Amino acid sequence: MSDTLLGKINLQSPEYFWLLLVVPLLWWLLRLIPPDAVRRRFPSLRLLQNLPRLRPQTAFTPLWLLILRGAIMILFVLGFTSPIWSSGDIDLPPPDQPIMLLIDNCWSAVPNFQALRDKALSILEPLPPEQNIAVLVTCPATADPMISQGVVPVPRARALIHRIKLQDETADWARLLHAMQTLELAPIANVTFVSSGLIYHDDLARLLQELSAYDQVAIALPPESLLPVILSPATDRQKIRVEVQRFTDIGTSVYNIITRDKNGYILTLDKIQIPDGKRSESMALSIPPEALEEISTLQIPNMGMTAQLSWNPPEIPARIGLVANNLVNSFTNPNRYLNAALTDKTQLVINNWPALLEQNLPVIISAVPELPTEQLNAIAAWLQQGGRLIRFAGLEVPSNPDQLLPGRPMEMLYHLNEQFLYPEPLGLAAFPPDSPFQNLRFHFSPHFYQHWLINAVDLSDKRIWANYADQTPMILSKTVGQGESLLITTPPTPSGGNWIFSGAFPAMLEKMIARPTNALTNIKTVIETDQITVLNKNNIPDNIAITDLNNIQARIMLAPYIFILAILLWLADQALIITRFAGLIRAEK
Amino acid sequence: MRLIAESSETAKGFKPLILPHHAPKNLFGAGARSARRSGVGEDFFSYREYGFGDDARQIDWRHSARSDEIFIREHERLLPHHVYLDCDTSPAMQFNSRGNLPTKAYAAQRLLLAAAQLLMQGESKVSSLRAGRMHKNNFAELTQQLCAAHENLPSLPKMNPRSFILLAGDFRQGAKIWKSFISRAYDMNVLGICIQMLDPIEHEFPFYGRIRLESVEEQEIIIIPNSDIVRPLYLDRMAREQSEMQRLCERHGWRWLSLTTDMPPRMQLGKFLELFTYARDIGNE
Repeated sequence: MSDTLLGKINLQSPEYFWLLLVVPLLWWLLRLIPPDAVRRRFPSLRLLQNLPRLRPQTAFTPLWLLILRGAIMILFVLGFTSPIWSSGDIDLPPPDQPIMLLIDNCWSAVPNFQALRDKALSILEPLPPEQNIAVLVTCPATADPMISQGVVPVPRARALIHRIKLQDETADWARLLHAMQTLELAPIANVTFVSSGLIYHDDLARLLQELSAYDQVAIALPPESLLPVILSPATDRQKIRVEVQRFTDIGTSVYNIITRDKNGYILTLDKIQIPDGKRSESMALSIPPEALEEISTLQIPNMGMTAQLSWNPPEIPARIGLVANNLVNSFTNPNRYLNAALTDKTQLVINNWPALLEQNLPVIISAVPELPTEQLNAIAAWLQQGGRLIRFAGLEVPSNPDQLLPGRPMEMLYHLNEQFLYPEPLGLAAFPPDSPFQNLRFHFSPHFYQHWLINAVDLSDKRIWANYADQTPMILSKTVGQGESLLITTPPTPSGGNWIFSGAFPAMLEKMIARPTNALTNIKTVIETDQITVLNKNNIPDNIAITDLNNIQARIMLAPYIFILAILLWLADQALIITRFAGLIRAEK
Repeated sequence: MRLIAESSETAKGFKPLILPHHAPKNLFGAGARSARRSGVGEDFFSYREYGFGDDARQIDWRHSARSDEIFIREHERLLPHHVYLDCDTSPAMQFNSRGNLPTKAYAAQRLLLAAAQLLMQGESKVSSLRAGRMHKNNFAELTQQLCAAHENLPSLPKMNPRSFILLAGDFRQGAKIWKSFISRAYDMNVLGICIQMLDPIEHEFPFYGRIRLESVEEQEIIIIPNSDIVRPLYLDRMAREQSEMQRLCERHGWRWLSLTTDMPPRMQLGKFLELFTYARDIGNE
């Protein structure tokens, strides 16, 4: 079971290695017992009388002959151990050990699915037919991810793998892990996860926890160059060009490309459209070539795919409640952008109203829904006690806004549609003197494409924290008891502007949620993000072997070659003897 | 019969071996000896009156013209050489290391009989040394006597001076044993050739590694742990023994010839005849 540069050699019958112990014994015996002398009649025996005393011949066995014959013996023993060479780097399990194959067939497996399937099949290739195999998929077509319905022999497993279909959905790890536990193969099973290389952050944690129950675990990964989205700066001096690849060529997609500097501030926000039938498209970034060195991060925040996850917006030292059932990875879901704008360390607590109010967190609603009276009363009571509610303008203007809203929305102004009310996107005006943002300084000026208009009559008792460049209020605040209700008049989506992706947003959000610390007690920590993790050796524990998804070359039974080599060496040995003893053999004839 | 056929085949094509008439006192210096009687010969002996039965070709017309009688020219009569042959037929000579090789005795007998045929064609009288006396040339009897089994050395019968002896064997007894025989022959003015016939394995000692050698004659056994080391020692001893025999022969005007059974028979005979060429060249100097 040795790793080599060329591949891996597995021994099917390592017990035969005990025979190596016999080699020195044979050597000793051969030297101890001299070979029987060749018998010859010889008339001139008188000339051989009174010979000087000679040492036995065996004491003069040449070293090279000993080495040669020792090598022949060792080769024979090695042949009996049935070694198998494989260019793959997964250990071959013994025949009585069950094998569990987890095969990724969710959306992220699209570009490499054939390789994934080939890899899974190649793992079965050298196994005896009677070996027990369990085949599970991350994204089952039916309700049961355990497509093999328990352990099956190798031929059946092979057929099942051929039948696995790609699913354009996210992985259902909860069900998969449950299926793994149902099989009750821990810790004896040899588990191999044939992975697409991408996994949601929380899924990874759950998977690793489950895999820790098994002794031998391997994860087959594609090279990072085959991940679904690849961004690479072009070398064109005239323009900074990037090429965006997607994992499918079906449908037209629009992606945002965000570049950030080393401080995390957005430098550019561009859109690129990949038309139906194409997998990739290139475009020039809207900054001069000289600015290339300033770019530290390129991001595509669409559809949950982020090629580089190195962007770290300023940390918000707080927990924030978010009213949402889950973070759907939809381009139009504002929660997704809110989440993307925050750091890992920001504790975004997704829950329903009563639970959030109970935790006394600042609460964000990414839209302004018409809430039932009962909930409004509960929220009002919570605000009275010091709660803080932050709401974003949505695409729809509520016809009957609640009283907690700081300002009455009149209409939504669109910039980037056919109406074109503004010739240029709006920037931010200087913050009002009493604004909590007063001392904030940005390297980057966000701009806005959409915002609500607010009825000026309602602004008397409201604080305006920020204005657009045309002095339309951007963030309004209304004090409710000890608490505060805030309204941000632009939606937290790329269609609303680039503010949500800019460094300005987390900095401003930090101010918005800042409250007296006595309000932040007894908070249950629930963290949920939809960040995707690129699987690599940095985030996979050392006891899990990482293998190359593309390394699926066939295994070779080495025993015949070793035996042939041993026989050739033996023939060479005999040829040497014949050469040396030619005279004697001629005489014997 | 096979032996006779093979010896005849061996001798076929070679010229009769005529021992020189006036041989200098060197190898085989006896040559043809003068009988001081008229007969078939090369040298003039006398004239005598032509008589009934004389060959007309013998008439010396020049001498006859000087008188009324007719004379014929008589040449000095040459007595044939007496050549004695002996072959060692002891068990040690009944050895061949390979099936396709003749035994040492057979090869020696074949050579002696081929030489005997050439000598007989050259007017020599050839007989077996062990027959005790010189008979008329009888090839079948000679063959029979050469092949007769015996283990002891030949004894030296009373011989005419300048007789000639051909001895064939392996001469394993050594120079000390043969010295008395050869020196006694020399004293009788009898010269000869010792032809040593060896098997190739005696000549080459082509053994490697551990080997158990069994003697041909006695139940003697020698186990050699490493024949590679012994080979040079053996070859040295063999060369020394041959050298002693050669010196013994040369001291007494004899010649020494060592052959192996794997040599082609005609080559063996050629090497034998070379000795006479050598002698003749010396004699003509």
